[in-house]
Amino acid sequence: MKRFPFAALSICLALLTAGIAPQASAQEVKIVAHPDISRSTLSRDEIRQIFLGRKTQWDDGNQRVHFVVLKEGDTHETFVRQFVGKTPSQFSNYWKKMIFTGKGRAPQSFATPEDVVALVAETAGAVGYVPPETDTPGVKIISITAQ
Amino acid sequence: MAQRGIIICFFIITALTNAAHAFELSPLGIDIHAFVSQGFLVSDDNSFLSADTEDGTFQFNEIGINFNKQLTENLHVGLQFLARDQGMIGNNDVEIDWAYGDYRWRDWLGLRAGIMRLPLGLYNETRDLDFLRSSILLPQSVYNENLRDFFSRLRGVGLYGDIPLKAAGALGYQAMVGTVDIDSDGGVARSSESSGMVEFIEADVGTVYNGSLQWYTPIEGLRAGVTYFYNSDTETEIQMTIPMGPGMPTEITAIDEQDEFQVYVLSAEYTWEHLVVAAEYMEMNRESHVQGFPMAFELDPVGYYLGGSYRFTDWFELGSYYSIYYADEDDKDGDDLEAMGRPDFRAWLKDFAVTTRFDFNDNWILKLEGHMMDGAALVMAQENLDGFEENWFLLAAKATFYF
Repeated sequence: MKRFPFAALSICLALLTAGIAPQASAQEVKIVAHPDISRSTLSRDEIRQIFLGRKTQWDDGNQRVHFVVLKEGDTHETFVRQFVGKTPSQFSNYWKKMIFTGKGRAPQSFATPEDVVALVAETAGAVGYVPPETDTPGVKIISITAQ
Repeated sequence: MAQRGIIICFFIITALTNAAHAFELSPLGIDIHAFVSQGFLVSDDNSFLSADTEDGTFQFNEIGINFNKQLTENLHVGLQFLARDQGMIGNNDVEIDWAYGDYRWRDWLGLRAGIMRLPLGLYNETRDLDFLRSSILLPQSVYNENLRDFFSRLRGVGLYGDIPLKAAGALGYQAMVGTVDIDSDGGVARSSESSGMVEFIEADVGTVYNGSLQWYTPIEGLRAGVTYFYNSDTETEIQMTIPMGPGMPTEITAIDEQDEFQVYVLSAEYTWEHLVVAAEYMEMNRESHVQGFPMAFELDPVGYYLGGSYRFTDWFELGSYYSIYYADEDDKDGDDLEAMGRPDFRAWLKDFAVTTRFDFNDNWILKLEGHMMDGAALVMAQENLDGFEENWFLLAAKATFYF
């Protein structure tokens, strides 16, 4: 009888892991940045740190990173899964935790890729992501490196 | 006064409920976020959490509202008001939950000053934010509600930062020094009085040191951490309710001097797709003596849990944990308690919990949760004057609105 909770917990965890996770879209994304940013490449880890608010300054330490996100959709889901390592709801929860503990402000979010491009083009230090087919006037395309 | 404050909070939040996202006071650039939770607790035996759960209680709610503003590129200020009720604790008095300035000089070094949430384990900073987790109650083995006064928030200064470790992942740290406020009607006071030997009058907490290291490992989704809390120079004024010796009167006022109070928590959390698994281990040591009397006390609780949750759909999440708490690591089977004529099962609390979470939309959630309990450690005597039961069941429900 004393073992029951362990057995029950194991069954619960097995049930939990048996769930079928929605598959991430195979669609890739394009990382865009303000043209004045000196970097032309970012590693996957740097992108993750930026969008989790842990990398807040560009390399010279004088310019603040201003990242923007899409509100929802396939591109947003693909990006947060592949580059941030979270589902959209986990990404949203992460930022709620930052907001409700006073550690950060909610990321600026936009409904359309065109709005993301426009904001990034006019904001110093800005970086964002858009679908690969998006026209990107006035911004720099950032190459992604493994490390 | 408290009721007026809570009504004002309700009014503000209600006025903003049309905002499905952060409300911004333009052109001041102040972000406003808020939450309101209302819960219900009922148990078949053992009234728990300083509430009359045996009869069922709605005295289980939180209301919070915060204001944030970025003053300069590196300087950010914010403040959150919180009102909560948990049976005899809180009573919806409005208090400042956190209020601090945050200057981030570099990614690896920032400075905070003011009233800050205190990191202890993975979830202590967000323990009042019901909408950020699956369960209603955090595992009491690590997140003991009776001691929340000590661990909720710290008034002082702190350093923090994030350090990339390249192939080894990244490291996040926080180090704080300051003090905490102990409510004379709160859980710490009620825990002291639960022994039936003393009445808690007031506590003067000295310097508190708190530190947290979080390692974001190179394994995708895995983080591990250690947090530490230390305080030594706290004096608590108590009134004895039993004679200190033969022929001595009761109602003597005395000072309980805390020689050492330290807590550490080891934590690990793994996230894979919609699955989150977490395990934590806590050890606490408190040594104290009563000034002028040959009385010394030592408490060595230990607790740990394993839990997980899985989000099946956008609106449904299932979670579970098994949590074990021992009031004294040297008396896990309760033999010492039994020798003193008390039930041995007061030495432990083993909690198997299953929880369900329903997200109606981005702003409303409902949770239902069952706890199968074995033992009665952490159960207060004040609400259980007719004694304790070893095996009991607690049902919790909670609805939360937030934006």
